[in-house]
Amino acid sequence: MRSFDGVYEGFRAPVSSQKRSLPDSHNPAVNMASVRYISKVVKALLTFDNLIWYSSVKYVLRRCEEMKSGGAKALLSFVRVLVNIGWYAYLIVAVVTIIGIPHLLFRDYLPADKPMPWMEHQPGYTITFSDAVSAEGLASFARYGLVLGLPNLLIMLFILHNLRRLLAAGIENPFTLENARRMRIIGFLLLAGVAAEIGVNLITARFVINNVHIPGATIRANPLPYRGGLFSALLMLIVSEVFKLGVLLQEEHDLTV
Amino acid sequence: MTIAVHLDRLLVERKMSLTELSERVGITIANLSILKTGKARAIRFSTLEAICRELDCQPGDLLEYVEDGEQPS
Repeated sequence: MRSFDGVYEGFRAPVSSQKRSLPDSHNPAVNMASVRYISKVVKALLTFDNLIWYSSVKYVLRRCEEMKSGGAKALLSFVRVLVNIGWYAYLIVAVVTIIGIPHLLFRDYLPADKPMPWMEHQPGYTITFSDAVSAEGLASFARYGLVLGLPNLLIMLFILHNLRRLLAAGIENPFTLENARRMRIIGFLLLAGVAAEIGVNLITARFVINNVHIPGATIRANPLPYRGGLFSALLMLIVSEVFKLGVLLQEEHDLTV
Repeated sequence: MTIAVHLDRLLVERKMSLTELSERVGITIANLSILKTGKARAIRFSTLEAICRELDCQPGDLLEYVEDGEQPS
């Protein structure tokens, strides 16, 4: 078994740094210097942040101007760019995760024999883990957390794939059975995402309730997912049905002379 | 098909081409072909009016109801 002291020490770092910084706070000179330094850093960060915001707002406004003259086509190309960026980002994350999972699953990140002092005595509260959970158990839960996140990642990837195909079809003649089918697939994928979220919430809640004890507090689980997911899934399914109707109307219209 | 379209017969009688008719009534050749081959699912009154005006005929000359299994006249 390999032990990674770096990881272990990392968890303890907040406690020790807190102790060290205590005497410093009584020295006004040090305090002022650090305040000035921090304010400088914050100002620089804000300037940088503003610059990014300013340029992105300018970019969007320029695209909007183009959209005014170019109409729906310009909007479509804009959305296409966004979806493509999302697609490639998710693809990279998915590939890295899938390659990384076996690596993580078959490796010991935390030594089993050491206790976990970092959680036990923080100022103001006490958290205790039940005896059943060891450092190794926690590490393995973290590993499973990665696996738990995988369904959502893959679902998102499939959604983006279908969205790309949908946008590639163009808007000259959107009412095709193919488009309606893709929308329905996206709707069901969103539903699957909601189901996966409930599952992940249940597993996580079970782990927390069984293993974490906070004196004087009762932990209750709420496995309900984010409501917006369910809403958008149902909306997508409804829109796909409306699209099917649109296909019929389009056919009727095309064959009317 | 229970409604027969006699557009081709009328065109031959009037010695008019499909292209000429399409220019006169302002309907694309593609749409007139749909009508001529009997693929059309509906016909607008405006289209019917324009065709009858240009071919100098009645709607009954253009369209005929045919019982299933019978041959159109």
